[in-house]
Amino acid sequence: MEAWLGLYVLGGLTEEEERKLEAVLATRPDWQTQVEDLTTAVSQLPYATEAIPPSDQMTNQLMARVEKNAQARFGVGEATSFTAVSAPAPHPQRQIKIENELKQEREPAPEAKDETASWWTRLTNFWSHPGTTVFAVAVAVVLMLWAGLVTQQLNQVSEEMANLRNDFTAVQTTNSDLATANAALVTTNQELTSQNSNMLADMATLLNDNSEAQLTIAQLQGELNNSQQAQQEAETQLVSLQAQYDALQLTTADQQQVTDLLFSPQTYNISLPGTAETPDASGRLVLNPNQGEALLLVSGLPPLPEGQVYQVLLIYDTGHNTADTFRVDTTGDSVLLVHSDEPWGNFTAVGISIEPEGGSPQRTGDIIILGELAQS
Amino acid sequence: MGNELMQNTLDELNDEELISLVQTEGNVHAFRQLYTRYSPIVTGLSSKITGDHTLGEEIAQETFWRVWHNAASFQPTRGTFTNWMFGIARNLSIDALRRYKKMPTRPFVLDTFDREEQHHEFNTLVAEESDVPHQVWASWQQEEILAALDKLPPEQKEVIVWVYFQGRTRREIAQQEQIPFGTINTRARLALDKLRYLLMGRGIEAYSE
Repeated sequence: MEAWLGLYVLGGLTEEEERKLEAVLATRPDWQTQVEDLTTAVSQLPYATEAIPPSDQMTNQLMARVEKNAQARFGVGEATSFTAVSAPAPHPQRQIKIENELKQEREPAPEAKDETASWWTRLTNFWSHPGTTVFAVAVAVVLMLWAGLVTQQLNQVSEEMANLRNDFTAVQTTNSDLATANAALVTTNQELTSQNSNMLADMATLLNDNSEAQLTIAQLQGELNNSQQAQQEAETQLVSLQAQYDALQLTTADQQQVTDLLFSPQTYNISLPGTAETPDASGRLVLNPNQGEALLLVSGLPPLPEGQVYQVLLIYDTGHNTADTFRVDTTGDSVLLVHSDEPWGNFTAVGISIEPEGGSPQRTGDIIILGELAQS
Repeated sequence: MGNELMQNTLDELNDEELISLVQTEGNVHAFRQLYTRYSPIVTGLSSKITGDHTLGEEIAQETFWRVWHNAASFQPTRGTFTNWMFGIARNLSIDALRRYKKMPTRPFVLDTFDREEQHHEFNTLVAEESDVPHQVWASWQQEEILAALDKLPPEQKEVIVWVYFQGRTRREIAQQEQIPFGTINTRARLALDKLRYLLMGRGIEAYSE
């Protein structure tokens, strides 16, 4: 039933629901506090409508009805009703002044009392006295002069009052303009304050988010660098392994030939040193003069760019034959079977030159490894 | 001269002091002061609820007649004078709507605040020597309450309009709008809580001289 409090304050419950709620409400001070709080909001709703001044006719009808009722119920009317004020007022001095003024308006002037004669007798006796006429004329003249003076002063006071009224109207106009401007400024100030606090909160959130994002970016960058480094290392290893794998990709027939070669009693090996262009390169050739294949192992050769290969040269006294081509791995090593249509004993030396892709029928490049075939 | 001073003094009394004069002494001047302060707002409220200016004006007159005639029933300990008076005006307006089974012919729309129009009205009030400070305050209050209502979610503002300005009960709303009771309760409560918060933020409190 506590959920009804909002509708109760707005006036959205049926009478039966209101009765039920009010029965419980009387026993719940905490609910009563809520109702008081909610009422402060509801009490403002009438101001959401446009103010419409009532017509003069309606106003006059109502006030006439009220005046008549006031006479009947309280015996007072508009002219006297304020004299009986008993409620607290913020300016008691002003109220006393009002009461005195009204009292003066109501109370008649004190009258001369002659209880022994009728008013007509007293009047005729008064005027029959000789000095009375003179005195009366003198008093009349003085009174006329005084009345003229008072009238003049009253005119001046009226004029001053009119001026003051005009000044007061001007001040009221200025006051209302200032009040309007002040209300607008208050509203603007409140809105700006609200916007400012919102912007500060947003800024703080953004700064926090930004620092967190920067930290995350730095972490990710570090991880990326590590990953890239690991990838490069893996690629290097992969190339090396690929070269080793390629080097080991000898066919079964080749392996058989290598086995035959290695276990033949006529087999021997010669050293193939690098030439002046490649002093770090070296090779070894395992061969049997009676066989057409020899096993060549090289090391220290630089990997060649695309379009170039190493080619084996089989050199005899008057010229040379070009034989197998090969590449080296990243470490500069390679192992291959070199095939020759002629017995190896026909050749005097073996060399290696750099040739275009696919090899050349005749050597075109510099010889980078060269060794004699004489058995050591 | 006496009347002018009296009027100035009455200007400085707050609502509860004025109604106290009406209660205890039948003070017509005090009643007139309350009428001057609030008759435009009461007439505006009644006209808005009934959608009929003439009917709204009659209800406003009846409201103030009851304020005068039943002043003794007002108890300051149970709420402010304006709450009591606006309650009378709203109840009379809703009763009129139900009695005549009349709903406003146009869709109910809350007013908008027109600063230029208000400025013009202030000048008129000054010329008529009305209770200008109070009217200025009421106008500022109208601007603030309309702005606060506009900040409410539409479904919450809707409940306030349905209940307060159209006099519909939650049973009627549930039936006509197909909204569960619980939802209506919640929206009404949230709307008032938020409205109160917004008005407090805008410095709206009860007017005092």
